[in-house]
Amino acid sequence: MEQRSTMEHLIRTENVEKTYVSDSVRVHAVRGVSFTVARGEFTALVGPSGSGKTTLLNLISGLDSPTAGKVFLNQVDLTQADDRERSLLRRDHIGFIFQAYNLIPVLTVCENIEYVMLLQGVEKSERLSRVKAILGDVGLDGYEHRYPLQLSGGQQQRVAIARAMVSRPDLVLADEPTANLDSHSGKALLEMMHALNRKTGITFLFSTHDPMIMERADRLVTLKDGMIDDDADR
Amino acid sequence: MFELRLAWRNIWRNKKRTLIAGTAIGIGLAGLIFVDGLMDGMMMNLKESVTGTWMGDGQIHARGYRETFDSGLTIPRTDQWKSRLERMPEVKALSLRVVLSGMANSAYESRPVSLYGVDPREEKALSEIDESMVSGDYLQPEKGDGAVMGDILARRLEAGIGDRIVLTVTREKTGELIQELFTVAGIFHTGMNEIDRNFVIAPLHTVQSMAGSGKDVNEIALRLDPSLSPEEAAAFWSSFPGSGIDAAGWEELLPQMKTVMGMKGISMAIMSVVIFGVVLFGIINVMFMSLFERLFEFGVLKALGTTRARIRKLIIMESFCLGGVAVLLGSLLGIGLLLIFSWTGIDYRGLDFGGATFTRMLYPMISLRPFILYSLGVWAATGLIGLYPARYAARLTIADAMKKSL
Repeated sequence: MEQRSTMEHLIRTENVEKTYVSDSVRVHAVRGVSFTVARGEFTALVGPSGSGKTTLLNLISGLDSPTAGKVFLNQVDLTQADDRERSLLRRDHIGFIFQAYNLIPVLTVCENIEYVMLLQGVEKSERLSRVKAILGDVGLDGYEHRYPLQLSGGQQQRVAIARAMVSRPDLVLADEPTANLDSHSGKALLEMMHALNRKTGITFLFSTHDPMIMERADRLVTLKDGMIDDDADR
Repeated sequence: MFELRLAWRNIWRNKKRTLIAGTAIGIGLAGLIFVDGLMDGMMMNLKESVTGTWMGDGQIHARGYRETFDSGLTIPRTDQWKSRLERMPEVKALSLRVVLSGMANSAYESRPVSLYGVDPREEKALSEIDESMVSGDYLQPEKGDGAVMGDILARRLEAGIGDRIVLTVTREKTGELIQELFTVAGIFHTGMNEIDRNFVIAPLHTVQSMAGSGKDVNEIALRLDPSLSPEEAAAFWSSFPGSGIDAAGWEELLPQMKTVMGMKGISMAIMSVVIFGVVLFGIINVMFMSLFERLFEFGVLKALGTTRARIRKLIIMESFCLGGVAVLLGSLLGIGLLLIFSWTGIDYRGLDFGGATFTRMLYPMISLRPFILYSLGVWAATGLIGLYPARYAARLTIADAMKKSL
């Protein structure tokens, strides 16, 4: 496995393990994973269902805590951070793109996108200006006042991408972002994310089965039974 | 403001549930507002029944009379007192009364009675006996042997208009038995059992001569200026110390009535606890239903960087919004009920309550106080009870809340 020690690491995991215990059954979802992700990478975590991709993303984003090992994001040890610190870290450094879009249905497109900036305390004029710009980037000019249910799946996912990127995070974590889309929409979105990655330098880390993403990714980290099976630049 | 907007939109995601929950809470609130107004009306009605029918706003007696009801205890220099009272701006009307206990005998029956000697004109301005005549005529000053009596007493004596009755009393000072023949001039029905069952009222000078009390009387009943506040009225009644007489307002003359009125607060407190309890558990139920439906969404909010404090704030605001809807619905329902019943009234006439009898239609009172008090109470309670689901939501583990995805 290649060590990526020459670049600045945005993500670093050290012997991370996650074990779930349910009704005296122990499930080792992640077993001693150590890897790094450098700034600006367009990386995909791949592997069969149950290989630990989503669990690893949860641990990297601080949504879940490892049973053992350490996770560093921007040199901050997430395993030592409390709930509030992890929330603020996610707010300021991570954008999320979910498989099912997960927009807030009672908020308009504009409100959904500006939500994280509201949490950050960004001024209203700045928020609106950024929303307008990002909507242009994702091709949804004029959709500001629509509600998510008034949009197609592809459009909703574009809004989700806009939401993930508008706060200018260091890292975007995307869990099966194209799984609910047709191949045409999926491809268009992937191209858009790739372009945004190139334009902004924001790091993308995908969890995916989608061959299109695998083809487009700069690096593929293959997980099997909770361990890294392969890690290759492309 | 953003959280408030989000909270407000969230409660309307399920309009039917919000309206049902809001209506359920609103009915509880409307019940509180209505019962409060009803009880205020009831207390006012009782007070007016008691003071308006006969007692007056208060009475003056010789010191010691109220303890013994000794008819020999008369107000010394009654004329001077009468003149003095008539000059007082607080006094709107007064009536001198001689009070004797005795037996009434008709041709068929005998009954113990309370015999009151009054000046018919003065009494007319003070009590409602003249308005309560059901047959015959009210007392005529020039007919010294005419008497009026309550309908229950008349029935028991089997006496009708024009019949003769003999009243026998004991003159306290000498112990002599005095008898006087009266003609039944009129029969009244006040609705107050005590009065309708026992009272015989005759002209003042006739009863004074039976009592042998000269021009003095046992009782001066007073009607005060209705614009006086309860505090001013209390100050008036306590302005007679050391004068050899005993002046007392209706609250002191009927302490059981005051106790009954004091119970309003306790009754409302108990009712409030019960209704608030139902309301609060209803809110908790609704909030948790809404919460469990949106667990995944709370996971998303937390994933995006929403802190526990903001999640708590959001849920509490949803709770306040739901409470606001409930307060609006409850207040509208409450005012509707009060308006309907203050228009139609409730007929409790003849019902004994707390030692008094309702003699007039009961109308609930409409005032701003219960609306403010109970609305704010319900609103604050619904908001505060949101702390429980808020705490639950804030403590959700993101990974558990978002089991399907990140």
